Amino acid sequence: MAKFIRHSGIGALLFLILGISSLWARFPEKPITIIVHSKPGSAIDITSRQIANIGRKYCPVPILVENKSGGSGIVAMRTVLSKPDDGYTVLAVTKSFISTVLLTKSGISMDDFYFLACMVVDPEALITNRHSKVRTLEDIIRDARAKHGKQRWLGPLVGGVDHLMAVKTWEVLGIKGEWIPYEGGSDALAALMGRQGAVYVGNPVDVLGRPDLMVAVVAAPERLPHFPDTPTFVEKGYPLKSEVLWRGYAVKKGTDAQAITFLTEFFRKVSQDSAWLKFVHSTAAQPVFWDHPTFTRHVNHDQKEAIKYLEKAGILKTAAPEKTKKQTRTALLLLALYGLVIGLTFAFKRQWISADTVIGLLLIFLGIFLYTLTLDFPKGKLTATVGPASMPRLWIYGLWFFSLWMIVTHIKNGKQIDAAPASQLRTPVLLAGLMLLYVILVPYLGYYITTFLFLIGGAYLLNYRRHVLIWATALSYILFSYVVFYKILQVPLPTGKWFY
Amino acid sequence: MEILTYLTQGFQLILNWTPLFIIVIGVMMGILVGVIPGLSPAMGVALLVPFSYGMNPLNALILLTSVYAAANYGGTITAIAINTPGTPSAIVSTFDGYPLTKQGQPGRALGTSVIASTVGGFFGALILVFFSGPLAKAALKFGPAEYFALAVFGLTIISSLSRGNWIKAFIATLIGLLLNTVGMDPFTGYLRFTFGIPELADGFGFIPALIGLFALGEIFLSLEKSEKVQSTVKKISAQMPRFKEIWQIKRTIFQSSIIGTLIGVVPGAGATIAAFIAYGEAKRISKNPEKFGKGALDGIAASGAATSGSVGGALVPLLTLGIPGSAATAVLIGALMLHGLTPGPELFKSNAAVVYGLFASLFFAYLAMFVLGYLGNQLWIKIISLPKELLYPIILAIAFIGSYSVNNSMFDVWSCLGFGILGWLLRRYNFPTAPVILGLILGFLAETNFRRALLMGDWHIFFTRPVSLILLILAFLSFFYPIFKEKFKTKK
Repeated sequence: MAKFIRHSGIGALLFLILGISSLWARFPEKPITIIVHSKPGSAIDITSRQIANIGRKYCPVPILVENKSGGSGIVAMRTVLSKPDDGYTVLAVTKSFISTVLLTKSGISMDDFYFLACMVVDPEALITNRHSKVRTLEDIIRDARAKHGKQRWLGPLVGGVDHLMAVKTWEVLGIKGEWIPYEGGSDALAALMGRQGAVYVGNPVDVLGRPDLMVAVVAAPERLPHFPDTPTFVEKGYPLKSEVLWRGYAVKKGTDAQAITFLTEFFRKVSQDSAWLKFVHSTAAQPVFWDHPTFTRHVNHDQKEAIKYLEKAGILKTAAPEKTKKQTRTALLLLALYGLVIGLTFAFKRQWISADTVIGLLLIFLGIFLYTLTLDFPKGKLTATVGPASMPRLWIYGLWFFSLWMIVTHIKNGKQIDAAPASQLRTPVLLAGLMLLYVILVPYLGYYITTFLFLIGGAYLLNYRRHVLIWATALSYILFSYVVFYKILQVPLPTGKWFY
Repeated sequence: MEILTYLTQGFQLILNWTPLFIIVIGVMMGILVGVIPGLSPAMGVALLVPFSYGMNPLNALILLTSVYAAANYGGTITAIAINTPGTPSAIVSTFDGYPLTKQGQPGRALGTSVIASTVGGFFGALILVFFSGPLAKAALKFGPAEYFALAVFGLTIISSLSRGNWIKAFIATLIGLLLNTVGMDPFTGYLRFTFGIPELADGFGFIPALIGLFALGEIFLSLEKSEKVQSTVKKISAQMPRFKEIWQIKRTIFQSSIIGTLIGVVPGAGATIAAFIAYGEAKRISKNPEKFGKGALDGIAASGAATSGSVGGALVPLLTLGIPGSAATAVLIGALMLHGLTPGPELFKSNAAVVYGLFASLFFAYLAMFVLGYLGNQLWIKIISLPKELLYPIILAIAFIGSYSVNNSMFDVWSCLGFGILGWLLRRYNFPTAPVILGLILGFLAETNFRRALLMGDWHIFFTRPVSLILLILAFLSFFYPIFKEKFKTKK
């Protein structure tokens, strides 16, 4: 009982302190960072930078945009989830995140985020080449029927927003097509201009400035102001009323209510700014403001649909998780076998042992290991001709061939070539070790302090003893990186848990 | 000669204090961005986009293209000086540039690089001005089969990089190709060889791999080789190349500029592949191919000219089609749209002043780059004259910051260290490291286009399309050419 009282006492005290401090602290009191999942220059990046720029009027603190690309958004989502839920880290979200969380099995779900506001919707559209025979929706349908599922639809990434739109369109129109994925939207657009396919799935913005291309049909409730001559699906009698790519902003779930109120108001103000409206219109998209409930409803609806069409396209079931346990067992087994072969050779044919044969054999075993991994690779619809396993296997065959060749040449020549100069192994190993320590320590001590220590330690390790020069160089390097990275280029450098 | 009239107007726009000042600033920033490994030209352009908000569209565009142009050159500086390519394409400059530095002649290497880069840049700009229309049309003919053939053609230059040991060069290439398959399969989204590590979904970062294999590997190896770390470094000469030396390699510079520009036009191929192919071709036409890899000026010039030439080339599809020819031009598209300009053929009609002003500014940017680069060389030479014991830790620290800043990720730093150790081991046992990079670059191009071509048709596609067929035949010939040459010589 006493324990309970003590605990609840501490709890009450904590509550009081937190309560008071939150009364004192008014959001925001330090810069707000928007995390963007793609490289600079992408649509979502430009949108975010525009908001940061226009929003200066509505926000007392600076707004920074930081790109955390990788894993189709997983890296950015993970970054935001790893930060405290204080509202200072905002995630720029797009519809593509739904496919990402569904396909990557990363343990992250859309429910981990609180959706603040959706700012832009971009209607999906079918785009065709003006100079080809397939231009309008009717052409597309006719051509698709004539080609029996061989009509080429171009676009980015399998399983992405545009691919799912294509699958849905095929279902609604009652046709079939072949999805030809490209590295990015612009590569696929170039292919459409070169008439390597019939249809590109994208947004109206994609035809701006490209007179060879035209929007065949758009999935909007009514005709777009920019494209008065372009029909909608609805007009043509197909129920694709509002298929949109949305771009909005979210924070980690559980973020402080005060921060959420401020940020929501902030986005609402930006969404009504004339400069903002002008910008969004210039990209042929539509400015909107969906508040939290509306935005969340859209996300949930789109997620349900994505699951349906990912399954229909045969993608969701193929993305099986890797079997780590089995892999480890195979690796250990092969390692033991490798040791055995080396051991036996050493015992009976010692003259065969040399750097080349040992490395060659290692590569062969590594190849075997990787080959066993490729056995688990999927053989889905898109893999009918050459699947994900084909190229790695081809390279593995090559590796086996040349490694074997290397071993055989070596044994035939029979002479021991001492390839390794093994003279001064101590210094490089120590320096590599120091670098390892450096990389380990940076997340704790921060970039500046650790680098300073590393530079000094490195010089002493290499037996340099002109103390003044060592300290002066280290200091000037730190200053240089501070000025160039932090001041001029504004590239964030890692900060430490303990120091900056 | 409508073009000339427009161009004159463009020059009139540029010949003012503000644009000229912006060009100089842009070139300085570009060289800086290029010199820092991890900040690619694309990153440099992106970082400066916010600065361009307040400018008028032409000035903004001038700033960003100046950065882009100069960054491609800037990368070669660190490549030559400390064997750390500052930009991916500068990797080729390490092959001959760094050996010259080690011989105590960084001035000759750096000087050749800035001259070749300037000539290449001018050449690319000229082609951009006069031939962008037809070239862009030709670039659209590039389908999956052609891209695949180009990748195969690129792979044939292994024979130029093998330095005597063919088998080991092949093994190194295959290691690169295999490393390239790590990550999400571009066609099915399946995660290959990632072992549950989320950061590997995008595969290994290219820049960390480059820095690791070259900079780190070189440091570890040279520490191991030298009996004791000498404090008395070979005397470093600041002497620049003589005019005669440059005149002797004019053909290489010219040829590499063309290769660089043409490959730059093809979207998705880029400066790095251009530099590799130009290097291979330079070695093939050279009278002293045995000097390549040991400090041949032709090798440095080929890389510099091709890299710079690719800038003009990459602007061709951007301005005529609205399709970016490289990562940096992709950022430029975004910047253009921020200023209310939509890249594409209509830009020539609606905003001719901006387009031709941009063309004119390119020539000035290269002029500024030449002057600044030439003056700057003295500074770089000072830096590499630092004692090794101080320089090596600094290079490692640069490697850290370089690999970190690509994605702001510590994972990339770890993989840089891993590649450093791999590079050290490979070099230790006489495996060349350049083919690993070649495999990493071309693997993706080869795989995706091979599979895409087969999705579109069957095997015939590679041999029935003329461009693809020609490229494959050329690849075959240039691959076996060195062997035939050798055989022929021995028979004689």
